[in-house]
Amino acid sequence: MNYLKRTAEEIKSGTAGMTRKQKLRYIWEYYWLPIVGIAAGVIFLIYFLYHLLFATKEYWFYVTFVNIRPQTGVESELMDEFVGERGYDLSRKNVFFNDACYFDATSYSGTNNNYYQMFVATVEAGHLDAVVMEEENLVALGSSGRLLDLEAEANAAYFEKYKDRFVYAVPYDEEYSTEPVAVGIDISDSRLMTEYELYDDTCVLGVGAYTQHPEDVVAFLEFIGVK
Amino acid sequence: MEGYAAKQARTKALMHVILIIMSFIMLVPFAWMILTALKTNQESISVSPFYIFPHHGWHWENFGTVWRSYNFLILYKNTLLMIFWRVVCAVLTATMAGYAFGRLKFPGKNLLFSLVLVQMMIPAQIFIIPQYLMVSKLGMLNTQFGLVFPGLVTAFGTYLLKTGIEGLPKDLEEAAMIDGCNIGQRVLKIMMPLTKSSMVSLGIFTAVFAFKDLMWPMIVCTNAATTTLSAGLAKMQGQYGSDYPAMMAAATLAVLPMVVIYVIFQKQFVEGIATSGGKL
Repeated sequence: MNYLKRTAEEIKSGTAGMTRKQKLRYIWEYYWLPIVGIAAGVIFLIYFLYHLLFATKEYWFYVTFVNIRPQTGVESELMDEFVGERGYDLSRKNVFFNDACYFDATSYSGTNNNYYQMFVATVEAGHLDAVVMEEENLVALGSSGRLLDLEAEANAAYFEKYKDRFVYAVPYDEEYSTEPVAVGIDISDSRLMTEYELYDDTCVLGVGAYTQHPEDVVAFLEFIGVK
Repeated sequence: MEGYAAKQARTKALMHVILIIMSFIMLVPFAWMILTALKTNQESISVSPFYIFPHHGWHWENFGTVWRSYNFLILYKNTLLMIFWRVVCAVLTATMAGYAFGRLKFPGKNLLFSLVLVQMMIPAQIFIIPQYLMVSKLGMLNTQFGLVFPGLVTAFGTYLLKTGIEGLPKDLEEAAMIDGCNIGQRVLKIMMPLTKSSMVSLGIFTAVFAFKDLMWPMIVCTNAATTTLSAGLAKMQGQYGSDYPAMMAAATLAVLPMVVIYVIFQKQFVEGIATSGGKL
């Protein structure tokens, strides 16, 4: 406060007897840097608060299609149809169909890339609801614990009706289980294969380990024609 | 003497020949990229060494195809803005932090600086998930701030500027103090001009790393309107995975900003590498 008071006094004494234009020129000449700094700070604060308060931060539904040619991503027919059917209000929350993700969980070198790290970040952040990939790939991914155990008590009610389609993997974490756990649902007969021909042989859907929307995953399964 | 002069000339000529060959080798990937961008797909996958140049005409339309498929103007804008803000933030914060660590005395200074150094030793991937969570909770996904966020502060820059500031004589600052300069004026008017070469080095390193950064833009930008050249190119890899001319046309368009920046700041690039002893 003393600094501000002193600066104000300096300006007052320095600009005594000057016209308004001269005063402004004097202030800009000697104090342009603090002025620019404060202006930048204020603009940033407004920008920051705007996004903090009004941006759509959450997702209605987030699905990643691994190792496919982009055709089912944002603005695709598939996504538009799903959003329309579910009646999601995109001004409140987002829907994201990610079709640009390539990794092979069956090998170390296959996961040593940016796409896999991006995938892990979305799983850990709890954004990823579902992942669609080849069976062998999903089984390897399921072992790492990044997919939901579909038979666990909390999730059984949602996925029980797909029991005969479950795909199993043995977790690396022996404390969790030494027996195979259900990590995916076989959707090889779904629209994703019959209509979009995403993969050559098998197509399996896994659920993100920290998903907040299991009911939307079920809705997606129904949408793609999985009974 | 003549023999010595002739030997010198021969050595010089040999050195030049080696350098020309090395330069040619360095240029081959770029030439290959541009030439492939002008071929048909059939030509591009031919392994015949006689297919270096397009045989069935120069297909400039490959550039038009990728330009139309992806809005390169938006990609250029996003990338250049990200580079600009990352450089500004990194240089500003590193200069201030470098001055604090290099000149000021305060309790816990060494401990805090050790923490800065520790950050340099940890792989950047470790920070990805917490940073992503922070940006997401702040509602900054798909924004310019989200892209700039990991580059707001830099441990390497702080170290570089601290070293630069410590190397300057204290007398200059003391003289400025006697003349009535406060701490801000000393940093701004004395230290910053004298550490210009370190600041330029940091700016160049930051710009190059920001341009090359692929993982972070891919994570925070799920929207085509906010993504950068590197992430946009990665997406194209999926779409045009087997259309090599289109891929190479996109890659050629993507490297253009860096080539332009390099041509403009060539002298500073060389000085920057010499000052910091780093490599790009």
